[in-house]
Amino acid sequence: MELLTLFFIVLIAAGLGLLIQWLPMRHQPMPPYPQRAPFLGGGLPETHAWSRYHVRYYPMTLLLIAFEMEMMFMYPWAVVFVEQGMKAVMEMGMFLAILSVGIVYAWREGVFKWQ
Amino acid sequence: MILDELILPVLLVIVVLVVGAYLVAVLDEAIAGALGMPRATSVWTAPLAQGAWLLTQQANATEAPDWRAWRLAPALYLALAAIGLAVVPFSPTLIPTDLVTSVVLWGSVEALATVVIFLHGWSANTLLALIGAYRYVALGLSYILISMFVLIGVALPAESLQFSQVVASQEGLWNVIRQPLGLPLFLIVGLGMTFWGPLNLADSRDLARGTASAVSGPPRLVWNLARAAMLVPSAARRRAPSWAAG
Repeated sequence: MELLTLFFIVLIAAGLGLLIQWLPMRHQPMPPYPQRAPFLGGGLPETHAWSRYHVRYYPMTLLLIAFEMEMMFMYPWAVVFVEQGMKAVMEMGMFLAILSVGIVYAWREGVFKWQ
Repeated sequence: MILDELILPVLLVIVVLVVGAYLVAVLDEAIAGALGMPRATSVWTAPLAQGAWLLTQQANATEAPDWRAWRLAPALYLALAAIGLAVVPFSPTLIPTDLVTSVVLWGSVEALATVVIFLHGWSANTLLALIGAYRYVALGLSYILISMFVLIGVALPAESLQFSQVVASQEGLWNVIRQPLGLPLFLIVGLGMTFWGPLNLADSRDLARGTASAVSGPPRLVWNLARAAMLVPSAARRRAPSWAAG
């Protein structure tokens, strides 16, 4: 039942967001092309922004896995931590050690470089 | 049963979403006025006037945007804010949806917010918006890491991922006292996630408003509304358990 409620909340909120955009924009004409040129502080675009800054799925995914998956394991771990005590601490230590190997690898591959 | 578990929670969340976003805008206006920035005559009507103005303005377009993603991103951000509100414990008994895994849900909202904010900047196909989007991806990862430690820290003594259990675990000792760093850290994460005030780096002025630089009219209204609405659950989350326990 809670999930159903949550589903309706998501549906209504997203629908509201789309409706506020769609209703007033139904009859709006498209702006003319000179106006649609991207704002570059006065400069004219020579390429699409997408060609200059390619979306980098691979490093983004790698980073998210390294950090977010850690969290995925930590949730159930947090529930049993008080019960398990020292054993849980050592398990988490091993898990983090393995994950940090991945982070070091990502570092070596230059994922953290701001290009 | 349908009324108690379905209609009332949905209504509660939607009302708090709209009213909360409005109050955030009023507060923002009042603080800006107190800091000496130019402001409207009344802080109470200024957000409404701004919203009505945006609603009637022409929506800007870029040459070749990713249309569907561009229109969907603000709406999805609003939906994420609604999910965040749905698991806020307003009082020990009043929780719109008391999921067993609500801590996980909030964690995933933070991760998905990164995706949605990136989508918003990416889909405009404009340089400044794209830079803002990449900025948020880089920052979002670090926000997630901090918020993870805070969330885990809350779940540890409660031995549960349910926010009502988290509230119950603070009967004897508030988490604010047990984990003094948790509250300030979480408030910083809240500001970062909505890129508000000093942490406004994704939609900052040096990028001509970043991911929203090419957005005007109704889509801009939804984006602003969603950002203000997102600030409500992130601020309420940590505070609510502390007073609810008392």
